[in-house]
Amino acid sequence: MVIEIQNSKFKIKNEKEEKIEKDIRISIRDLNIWYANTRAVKDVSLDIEKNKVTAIIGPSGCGKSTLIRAVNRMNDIIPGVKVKGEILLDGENIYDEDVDVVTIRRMVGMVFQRSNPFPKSIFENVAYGLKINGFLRKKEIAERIEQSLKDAALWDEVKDRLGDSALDLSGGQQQRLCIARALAVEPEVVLFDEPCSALDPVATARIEELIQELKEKYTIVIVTHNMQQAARISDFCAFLMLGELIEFDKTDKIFTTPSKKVTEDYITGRFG
Amino acid sequence: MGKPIRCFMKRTRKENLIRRLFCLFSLFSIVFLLGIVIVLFKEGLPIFKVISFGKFFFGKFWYPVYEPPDFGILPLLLGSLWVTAGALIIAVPLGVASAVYISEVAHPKIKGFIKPAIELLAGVPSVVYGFFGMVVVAPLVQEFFGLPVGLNALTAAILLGVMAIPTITSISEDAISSVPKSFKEASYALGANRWETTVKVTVPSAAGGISTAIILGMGRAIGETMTVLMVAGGAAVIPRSFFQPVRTMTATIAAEMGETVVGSEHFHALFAIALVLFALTLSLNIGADVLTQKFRKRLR
Repeated sequence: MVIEIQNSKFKIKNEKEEKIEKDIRISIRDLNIWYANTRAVKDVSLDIEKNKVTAIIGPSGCGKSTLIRAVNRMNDIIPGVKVKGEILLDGENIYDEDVDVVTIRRMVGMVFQRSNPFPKSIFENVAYGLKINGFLRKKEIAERIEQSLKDAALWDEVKDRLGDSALDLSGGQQQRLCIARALAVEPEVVLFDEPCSALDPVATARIEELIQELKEKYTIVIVTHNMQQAARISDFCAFLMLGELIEFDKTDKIFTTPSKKVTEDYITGRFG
Repeated sequence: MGKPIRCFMKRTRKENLIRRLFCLFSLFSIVFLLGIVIVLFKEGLPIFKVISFGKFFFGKFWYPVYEPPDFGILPLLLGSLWVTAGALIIAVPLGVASAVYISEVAHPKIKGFIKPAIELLAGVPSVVYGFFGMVVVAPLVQEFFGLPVGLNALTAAILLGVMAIPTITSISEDAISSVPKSFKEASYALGANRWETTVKVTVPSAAGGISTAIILGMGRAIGETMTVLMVAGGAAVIPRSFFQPVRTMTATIAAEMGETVVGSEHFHALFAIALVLFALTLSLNIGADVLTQKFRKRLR
């Protein structure tokens, strides 16, 4: 009996917190995405909260990468992709006709599955985004580069060799450089598309730690096929299967008491 | 028991024979190359018994049939360099721009038409270029610039430029389209548009391949013979402007080899010119190779 009472108290407290803290940054509404004739994302609606980490999990080919790439309109560059529905970023639909895609991508940064630094120096890699976005004063660029390398926990390792080629860095360092590059243009949201899938466990742990720190300043969405990773770092978790959103809730709830059988089967490793 | 073993022996002997035969075929071109190099040195070096290195390379006059003869190749060397430089000034922008257009901008349908068309340029025989140059380009150049003759360095440079375009375009295009898609994605994700991505990410990432293309195009221009023989004007004087008739090293060999006495000084001098040409193109090829290797390492 005592346990029950404690539980219900806990529940009430939780609900209160939810109401106060709910601050939605991105709102996906009835999103459908087609590749030619294949429907990769089906009627997905979900809200992404500010300064939280939202993970998207699901078996391979479930449309999770397609979904995350819709949030900064990266699917635009793939020929034959059709998008229907809305994604509201701070209340504005990013798929409206008069929206400038450059602005969207500046506000919503992205880190990719495989680290992809340009074959330029470390400095030039981080400076690139600043230069194309009209930052010209050298002092300002240098300051921003230092700040974003610090935010990406890479500054101490590279501060004495900013002129070296980015390709001389290790895989984990390259991925953190890509994070720094994305942070340099001061986005509000950062999307991570399986950022650790090509990294060893140590490098993965560093990136995970970094993501935890980054949510203080940014709203984060991460796609991962690693469920432990989703459980470790995310506050909310969306489970996608065959393009459909099966379940979306707080991460603790998804991993302890999922409301759907299929979610439970997936997270307990019965398939996937 | 003995039989299968003998059978096996027979098979290996046959395979060995085939292996050696193919090895021989592939050695054939190397033997040929060696033969060429040996003959070049054997026939080219004797000229330096008659004339010093300095006088050969820096002598200002090429009068091989005068008495006494002058074997200074400076006018020919400069003629080749002027015409090649002019050709590159024309071919590099056009060739690289076409490569960028084909790989980054053109609709697949247009690409399917324009790429083979440019490569077809490489298949036109050089004598046809020369003929076209004499009949069409030279009169146009003459009229446009108001010159006494149309057969000059500029006309040769224009034609060699056009001839080098396919080399430059097709190698640059390969280099540009093999730039990983992930570089472009990273650029787009930072808010760059297509133009910025192409100019600041894609083309610089392909720089190694593009330089290789330019060097190979240069090799094509410097070694070209028939066209320059027909349109460059043929005057063995140190060029002072693009509107002057010039004579290249290749054209000199082609024009004079048939009329010279085998074993004469003139004969050896022509071989020495061939040696210079060989050294030039060899170093260009090595340079291109080094750049390609470096580029591959960078993109590993």
